[in-house]
Amino acid sequence: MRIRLNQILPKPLTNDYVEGSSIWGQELIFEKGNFIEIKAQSGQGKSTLLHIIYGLRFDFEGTCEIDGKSTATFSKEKWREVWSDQLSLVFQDLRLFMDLTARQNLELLPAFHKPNPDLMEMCEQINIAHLLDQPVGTLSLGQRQRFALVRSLLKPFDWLLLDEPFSHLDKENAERTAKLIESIVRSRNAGIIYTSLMTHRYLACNQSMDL
Amino acid sequence: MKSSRAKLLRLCLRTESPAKALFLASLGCLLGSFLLILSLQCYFDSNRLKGDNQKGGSFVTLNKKVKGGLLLNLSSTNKAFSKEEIDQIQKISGVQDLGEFSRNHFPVTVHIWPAGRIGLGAAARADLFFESVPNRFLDQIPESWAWEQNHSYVPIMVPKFYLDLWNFGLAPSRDEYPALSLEAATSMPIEIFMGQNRSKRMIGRFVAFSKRINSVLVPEKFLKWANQDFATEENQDYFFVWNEDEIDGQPISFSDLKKFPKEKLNRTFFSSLYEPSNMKKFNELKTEQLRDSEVGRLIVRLKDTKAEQFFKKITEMGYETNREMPQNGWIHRAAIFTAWIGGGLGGFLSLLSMGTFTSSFRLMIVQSAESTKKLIHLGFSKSQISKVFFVKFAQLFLSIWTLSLVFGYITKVILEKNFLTGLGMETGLSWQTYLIAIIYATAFTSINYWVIDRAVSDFSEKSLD
Repeated sequence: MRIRLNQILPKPLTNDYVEGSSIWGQELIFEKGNFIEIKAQSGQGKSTLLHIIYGLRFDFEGTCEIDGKSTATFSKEKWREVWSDQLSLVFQDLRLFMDLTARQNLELLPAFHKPNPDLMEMCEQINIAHLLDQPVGTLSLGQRQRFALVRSLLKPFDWLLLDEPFSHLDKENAERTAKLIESIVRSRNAGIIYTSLMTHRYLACNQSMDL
Repeated sequence: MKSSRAKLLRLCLRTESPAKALFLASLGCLLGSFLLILSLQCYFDSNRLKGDNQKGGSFVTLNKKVKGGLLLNLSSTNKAFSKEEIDQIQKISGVQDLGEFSRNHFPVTVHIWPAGRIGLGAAARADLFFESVPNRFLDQIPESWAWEQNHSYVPIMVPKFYLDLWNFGLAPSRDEYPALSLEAATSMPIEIFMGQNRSKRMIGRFVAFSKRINSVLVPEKFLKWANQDFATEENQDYFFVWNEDEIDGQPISFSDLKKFPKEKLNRTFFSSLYEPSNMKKFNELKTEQLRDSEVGRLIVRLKDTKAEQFFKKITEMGYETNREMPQNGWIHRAAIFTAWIGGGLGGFLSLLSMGTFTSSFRLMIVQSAESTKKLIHLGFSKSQISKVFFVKFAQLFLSIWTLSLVFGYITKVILEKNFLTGLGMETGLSWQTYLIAIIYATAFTSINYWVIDRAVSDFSEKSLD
């Protein structure tokens, strides 16, 4: 799966942000299998970029293409296929179901990729296995963030989009989680686009860009 | 995983149902469906009864007016229909079919044993008559109606109001006679004594209660057999005997005429009391006597639309009619009117409940908007989400619908047992009612499915904005 960003300019966006950006107003092509890091400070459009790629925002100039087709032309059914099978996004606000247990949240997916390692192993690797049967509403932000990451890894995908995936994790848990993500994504020959706050880099990347 | 996913979807789309609105919608739906089902059944029953009883027309019995005093009534000739008269009646516009009543020509006495066994308790004793009509004119033909000479009992059909007379007239005034249910009445043994000096004893039973024919009916085959074996000549006519050009003495009965020497019979002329000057030979009298003694009453099936013309013509011809169920048409129209009113009210309530259901479910969908959005972004289809709401609706609606069918069935059975006895109605609801109830349920659920699907679509589209 190939993603092409052609002269993307979100509306409204001041010139201050556009000038010097290596993404806004540029032509970029992301080939499957690459790990892309997008760095920026708060409020510079990291989430906006991921939402544009994920098809949640269309208030921009230029075109976003997936496999050569402008996403603006995608039907609802096409988007459902993309969301179900091709893209997996971890939102900044995580979007878990607070009344359900962590396990129920992980089981609530329209389609599953045969997990390797399995769900329990994944949770054990990042120290959340003992929390599986607790309602998500009772968990800390860091614990929720790790469950949201596991959920995204359980889906089938060609590209994993991560919006500040380690923002609520301590260094040790962030490193464990990054290791898990990297191993799974590489085993599937998929790609990652992740955003960060220009601090510590937990995931290795082929390409790093400042927004 | 699939069932667990469906359960999880239900869990995360769980919202607080608008309980009051859903309760009102359920109540309205229950009442509306119940009224619709009952009205439909009323409509079908009414049409079926009309069809069964009238087969497209009204039934009318005809007889000649009884005139004059004692002397004239010594004869029965004027009360009988001649072949020409019957032909004339048959030609009247609107007459679809015509049947002749046959009657017994022998004395009949019956002993009815209401206690259920001969010799047990008191018997109601009465001198009676029997008549028969062709089976096609009967409003019901029970299996036991067929009679053969070797049969152990004689099937008898009496008007339903005879039973009412017994229960509300005779039984309350006489301690020895109990009130009788329909079942008890049909199991009473009836001793039948026939012929001169009660020479023949048979056992009879009431097998049906007619709403159409006001007579004591027995099968044609039985009456024919009994007339052959036990007929007397008591109910016969009287004739003047002519000697040359003068009437010779008092009128003589037909049976006494037959005792004349053959030679005298052949050379003598006779005339009836009504037409003394119309002299006839004995052979002509014999033919008329046989015919007239058989046909005293007629039963006519009449086209409803031609009824008024028919009655006008019959009155002109000087005959009497006995419309045994003159209110048939009126009852049918009243039943249809009631069915329409009930159906209309039921339909109105169903529409109201449908509106309340749809608005309640739309509200639930609005309350679940955030969860719906999350699920859509995870890749769930809108049909997977609308299915959750639809299943919830369908479970509720199908329970109500089933309950209304059960209530309808029970109500119909109660009505049959208490108010509509003896009409020969089928037990419970008819297949047409079930069929329409299924169509109604399908339409109701389809409309609600469409509304739910649209509402979820609206939100799934918003999640793409």
